[in-house]
Amino acid sequence: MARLYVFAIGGTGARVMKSLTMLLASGMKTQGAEGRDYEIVPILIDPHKANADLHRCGMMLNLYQKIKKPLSPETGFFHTRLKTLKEITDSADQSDNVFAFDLNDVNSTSFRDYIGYTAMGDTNKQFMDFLFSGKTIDKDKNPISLLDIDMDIGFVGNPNVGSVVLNRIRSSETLKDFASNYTAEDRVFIISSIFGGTGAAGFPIILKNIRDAIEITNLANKGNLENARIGAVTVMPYFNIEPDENSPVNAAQFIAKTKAALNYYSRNVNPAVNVMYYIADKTDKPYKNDAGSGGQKNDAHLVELIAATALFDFLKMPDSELVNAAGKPVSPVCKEFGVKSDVPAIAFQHLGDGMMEQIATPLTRFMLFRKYMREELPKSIGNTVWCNEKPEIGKSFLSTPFMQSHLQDFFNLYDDWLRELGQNLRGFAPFQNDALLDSVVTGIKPRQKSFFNRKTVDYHLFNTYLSTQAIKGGFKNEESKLLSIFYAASHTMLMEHFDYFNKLKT
Amino acid sequence: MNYLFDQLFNWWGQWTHGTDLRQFLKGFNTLTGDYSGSARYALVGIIMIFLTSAILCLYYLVLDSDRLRKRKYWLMFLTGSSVLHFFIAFIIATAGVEAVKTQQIDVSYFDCIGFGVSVMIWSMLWFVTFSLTPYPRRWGINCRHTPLKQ
Repeated sequence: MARLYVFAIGGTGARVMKSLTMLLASGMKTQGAEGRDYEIVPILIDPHKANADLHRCGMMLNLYQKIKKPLSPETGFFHTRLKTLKEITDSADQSDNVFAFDLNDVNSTSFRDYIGYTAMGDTNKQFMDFLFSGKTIDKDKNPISLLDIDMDIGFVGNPNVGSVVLNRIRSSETLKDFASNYTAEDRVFIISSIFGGTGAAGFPIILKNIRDAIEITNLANKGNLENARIGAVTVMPYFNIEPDENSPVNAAQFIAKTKAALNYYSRNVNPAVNVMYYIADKTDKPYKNDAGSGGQKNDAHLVELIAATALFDFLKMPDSELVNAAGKPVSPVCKEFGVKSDVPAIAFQHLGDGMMEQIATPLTRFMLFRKYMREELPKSIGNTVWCNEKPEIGKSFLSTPFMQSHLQDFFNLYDDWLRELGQNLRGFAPFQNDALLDSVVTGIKPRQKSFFNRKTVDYHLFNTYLSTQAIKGGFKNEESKLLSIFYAASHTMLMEHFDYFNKLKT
Repeated sequence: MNYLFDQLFNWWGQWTHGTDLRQFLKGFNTLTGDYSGSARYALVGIIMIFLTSAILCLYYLVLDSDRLRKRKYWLMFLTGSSVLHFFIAFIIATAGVEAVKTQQIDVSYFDCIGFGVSVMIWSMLWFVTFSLTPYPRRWGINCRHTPLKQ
């Protein structure tokens, strides 16, 4: 099976990865133009271990894996396999089996110590002082020199520091493992932001190390890496942060930093990437300015969701459009995204047609699944046909780890994600959580009843579709049955009763 | 067939309806002294089988609704079917008796009610038996486990 290696860099990378995980859970398939089904290998890169967004993303990826584990391949929801680099490298040794790229040797180290400042000669010291002048803060938010930055709280908006530290990727085991597994069929996708520290520094470094693999010693598959098909999404400013004179992170610099970085990207990055996706938004809503050890825990944003869909667009591009020669794309492409209606609260109808076709049906299917699990499952369990068909789903199934912790915890994160998306500015609120089943999708109503179709879209109808699927049988286990029938039943209900979804045909 | 249903509807003994009604339902003609009259046991029996089957098909296949999947709704259909069969049997018995009043047979309305009860019990048994067989139950979707499971 072909693989897509996704490098998610920094806080924005983690948040986009979180949205991507939600899309994958909703059943969006990572199928390429050549009919290849891609397995995804996420690699989260962030030295800021206490970053709440990184933590939430890692938790979500782990839950996804746990949910996926007992499922048969064709379950609809959670269709795509997610693997850690460790899993595909050494299946026997599963210690330290995490998605995050290990930057342990920068933990509890100041930048000054990391570069060996004290051992430098006077000239070098002066040069370092010049390059890394300025102030930042420590974990306790006390002002310090930039050279004394604690790197385990990230690069605090300083890509110049990040570009030095992240260069250690070049000699890392992660890069070696990645290289040894990389085949000509695989692809790479890099997610980063351009206006912060880690993402802005990390993206060019990872890209350079892949394209210049030929120059790195002890690296396998150099030819494949050099000519790897690489897509990347770079997120430009899309949120604001509260002004804080004690914080080194200043929103006023976002645009200036972006301009400078874009200038650099246009010459050095864009020509080295097969497909480059750029996205930005108005920066209306200020987030809490917390650059310290608490790390930023930003609400999910529509921009992150849209950025995540770039990966699917990239996979759909045929190999013939992603040709490289001697480590350079023959015809690099840059893409941007726009909405159909510039409104503060986006629903499906306000997105462009292509985006709407891509995400509306999967997200709604998953929403219906989640809603049923929350509102109707306690009433249905054990006394509906879909429960009683083999393999039976009885009350005891509710107390299995799969239901009680894995799926429930994932749903909790999903609820948080949807709530945050809805509350943010620009908001994305395609669903009305507490509405009846027939009006759960904002602004979209079921087809008018007719003489021949008098059915109401409610849980009774949902049960009928679920039972229809359950009767077909052939399920590997209860878990596969649950996810398969909900996927198929929610799809049928949307197609048969909602003209809107029927026209989308996805 | 008339004989078969005669045996069935009198399975419970003579208490449901008397000998005169039984003879009349078997098709006995007092004028000619033979069984040249209408075979009413067969008529009622065939109606019972087809009507019960139709009601079951209505429940399992036509309505086939998730709203009706619970056992209480199956019991409502069972009750409705039984009551319907009672009245059909009662009406057929009384209509016939009215028509042959001149034939000097001794039939009361209690006999007709008793016959209705007999048919009702058999229709219930048929309804339950037919519900326990896999088909038509399993041709439907929402009630395919009713009344075995809710």
